[in-house]
Amino acid sequence: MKKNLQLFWIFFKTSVVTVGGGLVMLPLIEREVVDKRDWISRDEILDIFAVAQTLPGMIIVKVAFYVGYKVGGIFGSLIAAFAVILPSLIAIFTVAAVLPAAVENVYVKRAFRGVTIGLSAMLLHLAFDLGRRTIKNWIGIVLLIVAIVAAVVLRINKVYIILFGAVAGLLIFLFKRGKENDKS
Amino acid sequence: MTILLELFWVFFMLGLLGFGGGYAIIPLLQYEVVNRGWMTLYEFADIVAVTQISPGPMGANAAGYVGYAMAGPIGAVAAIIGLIAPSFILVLLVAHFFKKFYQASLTQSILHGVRPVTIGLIASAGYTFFMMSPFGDVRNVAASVAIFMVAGSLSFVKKINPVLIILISAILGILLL
Repeated sequence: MKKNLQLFWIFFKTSVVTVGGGLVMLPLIEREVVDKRDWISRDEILDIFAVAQTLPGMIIVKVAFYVGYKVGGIFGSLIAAFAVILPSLIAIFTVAAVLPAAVENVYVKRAFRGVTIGLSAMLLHLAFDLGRRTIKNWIGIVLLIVAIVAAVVLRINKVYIILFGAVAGLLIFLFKRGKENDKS
Repeated sequence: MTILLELFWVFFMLGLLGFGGGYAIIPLLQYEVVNRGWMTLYEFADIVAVTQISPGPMGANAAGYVGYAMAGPIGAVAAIIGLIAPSFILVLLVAHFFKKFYQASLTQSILHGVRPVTIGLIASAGYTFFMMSPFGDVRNVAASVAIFMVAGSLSFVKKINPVLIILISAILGILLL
């Protein structure tokens, strides 16, 4: 029980400080569960972070489910994830009720339009940064361009665009493996 | 009841396809909420603006605000549970059964295809948000471009905290738009 309370507190704390998201919380969690408490080994936490970054969904939620499971089983897993989403729920229950009325105010409306523009710059920067770091060959560039054209010009359902990327990745993998098998 | 199931299902799908977390979920969610007639693009942009300065993971915030707008507090809970359910299932599968068999090469190959596509979708969301600026007259166009340039250079050159960029954009919006 004490472990579950500690789990709750670690993930609640981390979630509160991750405003706007990001990978900044991974070292915080590592310090709490590896250095301070010795619940999980250094190697294992790195495995957990690697798995969390390859599976779909929010990274902090996946880390919470995984660490919670290792420390306290299914119940620990649910406790840790609940702690992660609790700050969101509190903020939503407080803000969401007044949001529709607030955006009617002319200054709030202007502020929000300003934020939308600022966000557009941040999203384009993020795309540029991720692209420069992860796209290494012409196949990646082709997929990137196909996705932009499909979304902006053709307005295809974005779920299908992601699925297209997944299938393309698998086909390229199978094709490469086929070629390697031919050689050997 | 139907709307709760629909919320759960839509966010379950996004939780399953959102490789890369919050920022990857935004473009997918934008398409879903607008095409299902849940809200206008502007209402959605307002929600995304709020998620940027809210505590907690961004994806969960976006899901919660959309769910709340559709069906109140229970809607928020249904949306968030839908969003994180796939992570729960997949993490438990990996932790419990597949640790030894976890085929890194297979998941990596899917990521090789999904990553560039996701980056393209993030860029297209950036484009869509910029095109929502008030382009009514020359002054508005100039103000919008100015905010874009300021936010872009703060993000690009200075790499300052995103929350600060959002606050500066909000102040510039009040002053210029």
